[in-house]
Amino acid sequence: MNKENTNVTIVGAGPAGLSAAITLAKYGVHSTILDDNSNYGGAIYKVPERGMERSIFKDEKTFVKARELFKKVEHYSEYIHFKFNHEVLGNLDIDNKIVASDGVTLSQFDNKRLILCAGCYENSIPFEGWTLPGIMTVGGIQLQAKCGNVQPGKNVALVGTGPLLLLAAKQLHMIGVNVVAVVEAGRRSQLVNKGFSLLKQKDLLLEGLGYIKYLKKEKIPLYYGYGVVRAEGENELTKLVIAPYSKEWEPIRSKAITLDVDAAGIGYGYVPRIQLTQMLNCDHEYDPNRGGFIPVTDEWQRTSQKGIYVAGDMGGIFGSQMAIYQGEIAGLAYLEDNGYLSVDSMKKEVKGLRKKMNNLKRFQSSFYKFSSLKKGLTKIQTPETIVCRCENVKLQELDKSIKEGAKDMMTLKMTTRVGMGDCQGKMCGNFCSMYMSEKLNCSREKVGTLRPRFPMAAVSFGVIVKK
Amino acid sequence: MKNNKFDIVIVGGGVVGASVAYELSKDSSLSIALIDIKKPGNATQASAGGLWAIGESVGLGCGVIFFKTLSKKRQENHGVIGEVARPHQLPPFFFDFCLKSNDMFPGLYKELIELGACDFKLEKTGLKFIMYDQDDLKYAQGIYNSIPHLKDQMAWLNQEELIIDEPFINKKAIGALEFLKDDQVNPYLLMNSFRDGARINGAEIIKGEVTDVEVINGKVQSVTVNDGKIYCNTVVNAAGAWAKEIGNMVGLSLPIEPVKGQVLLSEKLPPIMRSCISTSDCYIAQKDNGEVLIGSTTENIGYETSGSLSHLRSLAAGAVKALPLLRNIDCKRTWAGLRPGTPDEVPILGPVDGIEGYLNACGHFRTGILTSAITARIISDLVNDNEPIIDLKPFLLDRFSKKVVNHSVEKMEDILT
Amino acid sequence: MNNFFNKKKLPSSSKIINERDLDSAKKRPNKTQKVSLYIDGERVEAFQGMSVLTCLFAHEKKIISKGTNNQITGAYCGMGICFCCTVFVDGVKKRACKTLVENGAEVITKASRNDLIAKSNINN
Ligand SMILES: Cc1cc2nc3c(=O)[nH]c(=O)nc-3n(C[C@H](O)[C@H](O)[C@H](O)COP(=O)(O)OP(=O)(O)OC[C@H]3O[C@@H](n4cnc5c(N)ncnc54)[C@H](O)[C@@H]3O)c2cc1C
Ligand SMILES: Cc1cc2nc3c(=O)[nH]c(=O)nc-3n(C[C@H](O)[C@H](O)[C@H](O)COP(=O)(O)OP(=O)(O)OC[C@H]3O[C@@H](n4cnc5c(N)ncnc54)[C@H](O)[C@@H]3O)c2cc1C
Ligand code: FES
Repeated sequence: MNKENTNVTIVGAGPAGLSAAITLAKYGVHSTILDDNSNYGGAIYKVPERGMERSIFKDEKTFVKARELFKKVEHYSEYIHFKFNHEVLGNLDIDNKIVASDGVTLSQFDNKRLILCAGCYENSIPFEGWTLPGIMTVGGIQLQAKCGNVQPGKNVALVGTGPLLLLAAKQLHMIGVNVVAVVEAGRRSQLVNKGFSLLKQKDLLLEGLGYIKYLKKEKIPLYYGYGVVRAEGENELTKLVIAPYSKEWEPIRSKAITLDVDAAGIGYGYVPRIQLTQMLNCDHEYDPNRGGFIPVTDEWQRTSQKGIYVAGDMGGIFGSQMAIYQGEIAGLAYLEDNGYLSVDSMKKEVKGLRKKMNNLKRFQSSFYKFSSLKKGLTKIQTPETIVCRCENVKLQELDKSIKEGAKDMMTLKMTTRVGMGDCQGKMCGNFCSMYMSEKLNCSREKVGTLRPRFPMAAVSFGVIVKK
Repeated sequence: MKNNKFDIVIVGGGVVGASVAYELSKDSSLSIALIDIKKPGNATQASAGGLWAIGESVGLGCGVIFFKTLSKKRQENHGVIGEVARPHQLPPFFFDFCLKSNDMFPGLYKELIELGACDFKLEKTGLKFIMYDQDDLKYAQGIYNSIPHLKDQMAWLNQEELIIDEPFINKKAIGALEFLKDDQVNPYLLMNSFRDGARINGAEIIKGEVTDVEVINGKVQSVTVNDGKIYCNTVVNAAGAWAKEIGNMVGLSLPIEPVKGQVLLSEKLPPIMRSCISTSDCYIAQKDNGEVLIGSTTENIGYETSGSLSHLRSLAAGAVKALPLLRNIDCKRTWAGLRPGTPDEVPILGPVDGIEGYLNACGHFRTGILTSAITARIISDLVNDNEPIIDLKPFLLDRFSKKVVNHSVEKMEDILT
Repeated sequence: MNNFFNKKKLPSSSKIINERDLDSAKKRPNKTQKVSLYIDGERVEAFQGMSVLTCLFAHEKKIISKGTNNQITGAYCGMGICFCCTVFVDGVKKRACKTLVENGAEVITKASRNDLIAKSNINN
């Protein structure tokens, strides 16, 4: 087989994609990795803009781990071909190609040999004032500190759920930001009970405890069982109102507290970035514990479409370590499916891996109860709250459409324009379907998802035309 | 379902089905159900929303690429190279059908708004055929001369006049022929507005797929939806590109095939065009919300709605040629829809011998948005035993068995494959 | 008329924003190369490899774009998904968080396509 023939296309140069490429390279198989960033790393191992060695976080555990992975990538550089700044815009099925843009022209890649590792993005919960400049996702605000080394604001609050809040707080504080509060919707009692019973994953637990210790030492207030209510400000954020959340995460407004902040990171979970698997007609299922709709896979990361594999958070939120394991498995499955490896040796390769993965899964699932989103989040809005940032659609417009008979996301889109903007519903889609299923008292499957369209990210006509 | 018995069941809730439902719902003594499951590729949501009565009848608008393929094929078949093809025109009764329908929109608009249905954004735009060279000019002259009775609905613009009217147009364009009454709507809002109207008037809208139509002794009895039966006196087949399947259920073979059309849509822009535009490469329409829509291809490849880069590129190139500023403008989305195509490009309407209680309202091909209004009137006339407002003969299904198809020599498949 | 979208000449009387220390956290020697660019006509300095968004934040600019409905927005997701950070770089619409600074680039914030096309009409 020549090089061209063995070329696998991998989407996403995060831990999952890199790990898949390394696995393939070990067996002499070339791969092309497409990523819309200008360097590898993905969401968590994203290299600071001025280089890793120059970053004040270079000794943090994440970067230590990142370097380990990057070293392997460099070792196999002959086999791993990066195409950075290539944003995949979708699948054109009739051409048998996925299409990517580098901002100048479009290029096409075979859609029958794909390992998809597009990761996830943060789940947005709209609330009054959330479109004010100064409010970002937790990840977005963290990236400014971690990679940009700039202060996204002087007085910052971090609100939502999950360990990223703690990490972001620490990193922001380290670059000199005054972290006003860290506000976690989950309850401390649950965290303690669940957390300590899981000694098998001591590392991860200690990592989390480490952050908490840091916050304590630096006297950064940490609220458990609280969440966001609304944001205020003339042209940009000046005040953030938080309140205790009930068991179902409904805010108890009478006990609200106002924080003076000029920036805030809000993060209520993650959504797998499944637009590509949707466009590739892979089967999907709904799993609330793994971020919502995810592509169906077998235990070898194969999707329902022959030749297409997924790994990492795109196939369900499990974090970076699992992404690395799954990337390896997807790589092995590709090797087996294409005759580079026998079934037996593939199974042998993954024996140890499986054990580690199962432990990890158990650890993760213990957090579900703590961190999984509750119904109350669809009750913090007012009728006037903007739901779709791109098209300025208000909650009352959803209500009207539902009242007039909309029963699925497609109809909601056509009647209210949610999801018709530039982001194609990545920001509002998950909330809308959560809200709709809540209102209609039916399952998320029934409400369905928005159908992604080519191009998944806007691209100029000039780029389309240029050959 | 609250009810399982209706006077009339309409299968398919695209613009045609919705329009029929609305028109019939004006008679409050009729009970009406509109049954629809949004299939991927349904034409109404994909459409450009042009009310291009003359434009479409002479092969512009959605017909542009169809026409191009056709004339190329003709040239090849007849060995005539370099000759400017004559416009691909539909017969006079079709012009009449389109023009009459177009005239209904201002009234419909007023009526629906007053009723409380949503605004379908009827805009007076006109349609300009942009000419780049002498071939285009000859082609436009061909159109102009062939419809002398419609001269007052057309206007010639020279280069200067064109630039004043359309400041963003390619400076190299030599002029335009404008069809003054070819306007536009927002197609899915039109569908929603008809639905709103029908709902307000008491029609029931049911989400589900019709899987069977029961006919006993030559009379329609019921339709099967969501595993339940709905009884009815009359069933209207408005299933768009899927009308053939509904036809099969009552034992008919309808010559309706899906004809795919791809579309590109820009980000929202401030007004950059006064009229809709058709060139010989594509058509361009700026919609009510500022988005610029570019269409469209004509592909006979079954129920397939994926995009293809070569087609998207050539449409985009045609648009950038017409409006150079689009080069730096973002394309936000693309999609494809399935037109319900018929061999003679004319819809199939009305009753069928031997099946009582069955009415066709399908095969609207490139002009279903435009002709949804008149279709509804015709169906309503038929239901109420009135004389239809136009002669139905050329629209009846039996025209195919009687071989009355003569204006289009080649069969569509021959042309497009 | 359409050449508005071509690269504009750099403004002659550009005011230089007071340079802020970009190594805000810990003092460390700067080895990376500096570039200078213009934000709404004002000359600013940045480091190669920096995103336009980082550069805007470094200069305390939070109100960044005007959305398609003329709503004012700031960066939201920071990773290229939300399109709330669109700016015009040399006349081309870009996501600030996904665009790297370039020497001499001219960044226009808080502008919508409407403003730009309207302006281009007046200019002619
Ligand atoms: C903003 C954010 C911050 C996070 N920070 C942390 C953290 O600090 N610590 C932690 O433990 N976990 C963090 N996570 C979770 C973390 O993302 C995952 O655990 C891990 O990175 C998953 O790896 P992955 O390879 O599956 O995906 P990712 O690392 O997300 O990699 C996916 C890559 O694919 C690229 N991509 C996606 N779609 C396309 C496309 N269409 N075209 C081209 N390229 C594309 C993305 O740009 C990205 O580089 C964060 C998640 C997010 C969203
Ligand atoms: C790209 C493009 C551009 C166009 N531009 C124009 C234009 O500018 N002007 C113009 O006048 N026309 C235009 N057209 C044509 C126009 O869109 C169609 O003629 C018109 O929409 C047909 O309407 P319809 O209701 O018959 O079909 P559709 O809109 O396709 O509706 C049929 C409906 O029936 C449903 N259905 C099918 N089978 C079943 C079943 N068994 N049970 C329940 N429901 C079922 C389908 O899901 C669908 O929702 C365009 C078409 C395309 C594709
Ligand atoms: S901040 Fe979301 S795209 Fe840049």
